Amino acid sequence: MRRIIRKWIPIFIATTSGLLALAGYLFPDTGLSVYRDRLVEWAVIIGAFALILGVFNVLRVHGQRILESGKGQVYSVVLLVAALVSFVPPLVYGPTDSLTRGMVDYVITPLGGALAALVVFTLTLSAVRMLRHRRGPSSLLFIVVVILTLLGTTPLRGFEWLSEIRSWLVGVPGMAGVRGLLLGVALGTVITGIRVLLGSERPHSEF
Amino acid sequence: MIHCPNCGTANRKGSRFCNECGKSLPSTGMRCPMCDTINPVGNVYCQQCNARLVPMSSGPEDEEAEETTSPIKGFSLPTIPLDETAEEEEEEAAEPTGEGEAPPGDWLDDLRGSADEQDEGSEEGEEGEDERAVIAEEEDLEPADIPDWLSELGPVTEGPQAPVDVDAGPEEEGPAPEEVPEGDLLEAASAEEADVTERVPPSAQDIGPSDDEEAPSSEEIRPPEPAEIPDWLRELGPAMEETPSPAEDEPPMDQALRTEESEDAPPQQPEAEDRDREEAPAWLRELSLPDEEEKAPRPGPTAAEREPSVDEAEATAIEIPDWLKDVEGGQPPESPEELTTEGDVFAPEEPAEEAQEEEPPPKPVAIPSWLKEAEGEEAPGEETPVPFTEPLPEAMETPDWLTELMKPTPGEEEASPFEAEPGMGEAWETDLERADIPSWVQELRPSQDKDEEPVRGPMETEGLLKGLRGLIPAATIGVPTAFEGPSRAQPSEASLARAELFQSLLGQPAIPPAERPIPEERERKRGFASAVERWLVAAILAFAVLSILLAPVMTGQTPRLTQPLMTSGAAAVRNAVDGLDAGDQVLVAFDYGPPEADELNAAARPVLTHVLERGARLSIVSTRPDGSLMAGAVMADVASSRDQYALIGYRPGAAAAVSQLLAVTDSEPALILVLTSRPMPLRLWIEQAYARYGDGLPLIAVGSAALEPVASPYLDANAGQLRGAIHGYKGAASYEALRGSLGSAAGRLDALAAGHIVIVILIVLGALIHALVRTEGEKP
Repeated sequence: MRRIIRKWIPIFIATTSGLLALAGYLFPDTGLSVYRDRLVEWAVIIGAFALILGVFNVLRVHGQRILESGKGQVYSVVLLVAALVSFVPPLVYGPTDSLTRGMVDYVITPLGGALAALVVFTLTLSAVRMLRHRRGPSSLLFIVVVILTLLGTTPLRGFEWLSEIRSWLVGVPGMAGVRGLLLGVALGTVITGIRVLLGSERPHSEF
Repeated sequence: MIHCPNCGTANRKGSRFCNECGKSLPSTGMRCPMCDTINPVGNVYCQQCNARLVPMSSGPEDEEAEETTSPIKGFSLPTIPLDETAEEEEEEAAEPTGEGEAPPGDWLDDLRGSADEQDEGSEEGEEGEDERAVIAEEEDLEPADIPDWLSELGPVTEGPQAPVDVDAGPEEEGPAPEEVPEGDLLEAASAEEADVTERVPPSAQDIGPSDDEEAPSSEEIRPPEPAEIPDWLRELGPAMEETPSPAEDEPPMDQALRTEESEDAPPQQPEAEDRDREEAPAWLRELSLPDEEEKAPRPGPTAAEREPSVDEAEATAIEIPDWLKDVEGGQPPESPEELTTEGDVFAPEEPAEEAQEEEPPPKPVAIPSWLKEAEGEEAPGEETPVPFTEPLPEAMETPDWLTELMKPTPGEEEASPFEAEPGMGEAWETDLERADIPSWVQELRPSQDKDEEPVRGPMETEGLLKGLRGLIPAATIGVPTAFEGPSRAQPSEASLARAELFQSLLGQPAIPPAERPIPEERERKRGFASAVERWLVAAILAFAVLSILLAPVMTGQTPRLTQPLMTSGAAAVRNAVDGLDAGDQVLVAFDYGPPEADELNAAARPVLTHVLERGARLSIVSTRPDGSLMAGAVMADVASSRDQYALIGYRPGAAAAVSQLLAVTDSEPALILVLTSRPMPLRLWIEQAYARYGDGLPLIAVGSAALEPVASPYLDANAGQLRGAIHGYKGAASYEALRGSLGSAAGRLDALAAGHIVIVILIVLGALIHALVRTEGEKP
């Protein structure tokens, strides 16, 4: 009985819901789209609960680390304080209040930009040191492509032809690779969907 | 049968798992005295330590006999699963038939044979129930309760009687005695038992002769025929015939008995006799209880001189084994009633008259070793058994149960146990001189030191034998005095050298080539150079970017390093926005966060400004929690009024959220604008919007520069899933250029161009340096 409850009932629910949503897309004029939209709405609500649970889980983990005086408890304290500070203003004054916007514009966004800038610096340094550790045609080709792409991204005056080269690199070799990735993702999504509908794939069940 | 401890299902003997529930069944086997490993019955050596499990024999013939005749194991007491033994004991105790009178334990199952024979024996046992009842009342003796190992001890306790081979169970199949060749004694022994089984009902087998039969006297006890002689005695026949006069060559019985005791009999514990009796199992206590009554009818040393009474005769007749009956008759019994099968009786059952008439002269080959030694003093065929000349040596410690069985009558408390043996008591009292052991007997002497104290076996901790010591023959007899484990081959020097080399290699830490230790000075220099390199790159980058950004502030002029280009994507976006009418609803998705905010905000502002200028109404949503914050910051800059847009906020659920957003929209949006820097949100929006609206709904995107390769497939004219897209500062500058007013995006594009130029220069310099200049550590 326990196995039936924990295995077959979730499979039945998942298969029925998936088939109903799929039928709603395939046959939108049959009224199934109503059930499809209702199921999608339930999924959104469940996703919201999952977000709340995730927030509480982060707070619990770091709170427990502080109580146990574990390693990195200082960072946990900073995280909890930051979470509390960033949570109170939007809750009290709303998400469009000046205090909330100031916190976003002068704290969160600059810190995010700084992190992205560190990526630029790291990539630049790695490219400079590249031939130290790896010498060969592939490295040379990589360097050439990087130079052309960088210079073509920004249309320098007098070097507009570099933009054409860059457009060709992005539009032909780059698009070929991306199309392959997209096709692979699409096929994987279809296969995963079929497996879930048939009960072979049970991400929602323990069995 | 082996009963499952889990479900109680009876499984066939030898089964390892229950047929019903699949649980493991208790294993049946002999416990190794050295390592306590349970070995299968029949193993001579332990599977674990190769210790010998069966008793040591005096010659190779005995080992062969043990191996060829598995039931005959000398005085071995098979180790049995305890639970099984207890259950079968209970079952057999509940059975009223003759089968239930058999001694309990799985080790007797080997003697029982198939179930059909058991059933047959049960039916036949009912027929002889009356006879058994009479005998039981008179003697209160349960001959059937005497196990095989005790039956084999019969010759030791009863002197002239030949060893009763009860190991060859009554149900063992074998040829009839008359079919057995004279020379093959072991087969004849088992065949004789099998023949009796076939013709004698179990009751008769258990209780011996009926009341109608005449009780045999002690004089009728004769050594068995050659069929009862084991192999190790068979070769003694010719030697016995050549035995010199008994006065000269009489072997000392103490040595002979000691030999047998040290080999076969478990040690005795006289001081713990009472305790052992209390701890002894039920079947063993039953053997002990009737000893008083058992001793009275047992033919004593004077039984040959006096005329036995009817009761005594009957009692004696019960103790006559079947093999002796056959021996005395010299031919197979004519009727089943004349036979007794169980070897646990020690007196012949043939009628006295018939026995006297047909009694053949005792054949030396039918006498066991200990008796043969004594018999060698007298002429063959002499009816009087060879008396013992010395009392039982102290070294021979008979077990308590055997002592109790040998206890004489109350009037003979102090007499030797051998006085109870027929024909032995008289010789015991005569105190004959001790004779030398003949050479052929010396050869039979086991390798054990006769002066050595008998080894006490480990105390049994479970089963019927719990609390008893030395009852397992393997522990007391079969263990060599100095057991040596399996010999190990000495490794050669070359092997040792290779092993040492391998060990030394294993002991060295695994150091990859990249992490090979380098001199400290070189490491220090390299660290310094690396740090300088990092700081130099960072400083150049910062200077290049900041110089462009700060130039308007410092010089009042904006340097223009780039020329915005009119891209097709930017043109498509502009056309899509230009198609909006006032009041149209535009769904804007802010799916980016603070790390990408600077680039996306710069790219989104010209487009959103254009949309607002068209008079469209914005509905702003996000599938990221921080997306709404980004939206608030951007819209605060581009929107002149809060009424121009509606901030719906965050929608969890990814694809489901997008689908749900599209479903709950009151009216079909005129345009969907996706602002994102990652491929996943863009793909979700494209898929869900195209699935719902098809080609009819224009969807445009504003993304980062890194998103351009991913979005380019959707921008294909044949696909039609994405009307247009602008990416990064370049796209924003293009859009501003299309609209005729360069804004912040063009300025940031110049700073970006400066950064790119510096990066390219650094890469080229680094490549040249590292390609042309080799450091000291990199030189081969």
